[in-house]
Amino acid sequence: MELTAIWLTLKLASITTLILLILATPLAWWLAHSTNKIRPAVEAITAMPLVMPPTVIGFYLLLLFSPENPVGQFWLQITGDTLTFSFSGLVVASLIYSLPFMVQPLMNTFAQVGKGPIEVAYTLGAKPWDTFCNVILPLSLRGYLTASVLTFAHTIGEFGVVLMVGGNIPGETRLVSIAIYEEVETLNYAQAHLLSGILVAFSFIVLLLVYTTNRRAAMRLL
Amino acid sequence: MLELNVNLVRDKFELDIATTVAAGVTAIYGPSGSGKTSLLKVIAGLAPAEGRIVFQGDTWLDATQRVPPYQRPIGLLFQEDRLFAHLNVLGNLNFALQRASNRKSARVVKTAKTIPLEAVVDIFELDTLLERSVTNLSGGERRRVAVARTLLTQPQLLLLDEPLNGLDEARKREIIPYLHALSNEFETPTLYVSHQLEEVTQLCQNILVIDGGKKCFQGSIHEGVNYVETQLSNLMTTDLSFLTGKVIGQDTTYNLTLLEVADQKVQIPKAQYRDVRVGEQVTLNIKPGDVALATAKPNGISIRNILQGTIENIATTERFADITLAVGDQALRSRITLAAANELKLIPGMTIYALLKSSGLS
Repeated sequence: MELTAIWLTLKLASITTLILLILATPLAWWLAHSTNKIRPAVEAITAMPLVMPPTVIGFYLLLLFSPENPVGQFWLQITGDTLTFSFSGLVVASLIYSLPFMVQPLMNTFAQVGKGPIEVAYTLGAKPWDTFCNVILPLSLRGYLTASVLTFAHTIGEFGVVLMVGGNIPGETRLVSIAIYEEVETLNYAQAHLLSGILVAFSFIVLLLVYTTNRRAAMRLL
Repeated sequence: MLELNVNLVRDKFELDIATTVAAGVTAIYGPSGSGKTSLLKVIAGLAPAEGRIVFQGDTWLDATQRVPPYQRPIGLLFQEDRLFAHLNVLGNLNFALQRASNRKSARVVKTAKTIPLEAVVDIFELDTLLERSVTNLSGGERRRVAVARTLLTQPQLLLLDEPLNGLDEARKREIIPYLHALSNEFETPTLYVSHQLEEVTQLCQNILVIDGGKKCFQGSIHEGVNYVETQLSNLMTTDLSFLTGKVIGQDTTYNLTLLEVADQKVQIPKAQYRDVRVGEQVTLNIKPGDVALATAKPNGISIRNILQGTIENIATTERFADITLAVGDQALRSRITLAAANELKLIPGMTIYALLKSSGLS
């Protein structure tokens, strides 16, 4: 039962991180380089999940995902499943609340890399896609690593949004954070300790890995 | 060779230049903020200018088309080197080399000779640096790699943005021979941006002077030096004098080049990295401290170069006197101590002999 929760949590975090890597790259690029007047507004909207209470996000997503709402209805029609209280609903919710954790480090890294290397690559005959793959990506590797780890870890740790949107269905929406809450509610402290201990150790090991590899990456560049 | 009629408006600055640039090395000279770098970026396609750019019959920009920068056969050397930090020296060179062929097939202007990696490594003495990371190179080494990388794009037009900027005197002396080698070995048409007159007199044949985004003079280097000295004297960032003379012969015994400056003879050590031809105009950069003065023509003296002139102006400071002489229609500056100036009783209008140390001439 607890293994299922751990597996489900890892699956959700991995899928969210992979999808956001693809979706957030163009958004972060645009935010880093655009001089458009609506840029600050888009940046503010992107950062909203950082400051809003998770229950507020969860509440609105629940309404949005409901089959009575066009969005929820559309999803139901094309997949035959609801977005509320389902794994796909959790993925969509995670994409929204973890977005700033992917966008902001990428945006910073793109801004730091700047236009200089792009201009050089162009004058050396590299086309835009070639420039992105062979100049921008390798120069932004550390930013991508940081962004992925933060997104992954934040998705694992989220509680409020997933409880509102997903509820507590074993094997479908019962994530580790939900499981811990339930164990505590039923005064099952031993299980709560086990799961909490695993999360603490996991967080520490992930951060340790990031900081060690980041240091190595830094030394390689020096 | 290169026809330009371009307009670029940015914030409060407007660049508006219409000109035709001939082959050879052309200086783009002007004070900081005059639009020199912007002009290079417009030619490279990195700045969104309007107008018309035609290079050797190939239209890069007009009302209907805008050739992207990666298709223009240019080599642009940026002021800050901009080497790719994620690649080593060889990686940086290969980046340019591998993409040169794409671009060449995209826009063939004429069959230019290919510049191989070995030749560039050889000329810029990079063989011991190839495996090094670019982040631990010295300033001079970085610049050499950057110039080499620019050349490996097989450019048909070289755009050099202040290639000596940010280097100290020793590093400049290290780089200048390589820049000479550029025009000698590869004969690529070059635009050379600089705000240092002493630099462009050494490296360029023609000059385009711009100020406030507008063209204010175009011509040969010695005409240009004269224009800047008379019309833009407030922009002069140097106290060097620039004397232009015609090469009248070579002395192979002593390795000297003989010049005629304002109908007087001057001999200078033969240039190390450039072959000058008889009849060619050359410009000498002369430090005021290398010019001594005498009220009568001296005899029995080691100094070979003595120019007769007239004192035009004397400016004194606490310890020194800065004397401006007219030698023919050219100006020559001398700095002597105030004590010497007083002892010689120098006054404007006086005929004077300027003694130039040959070793101080370049």
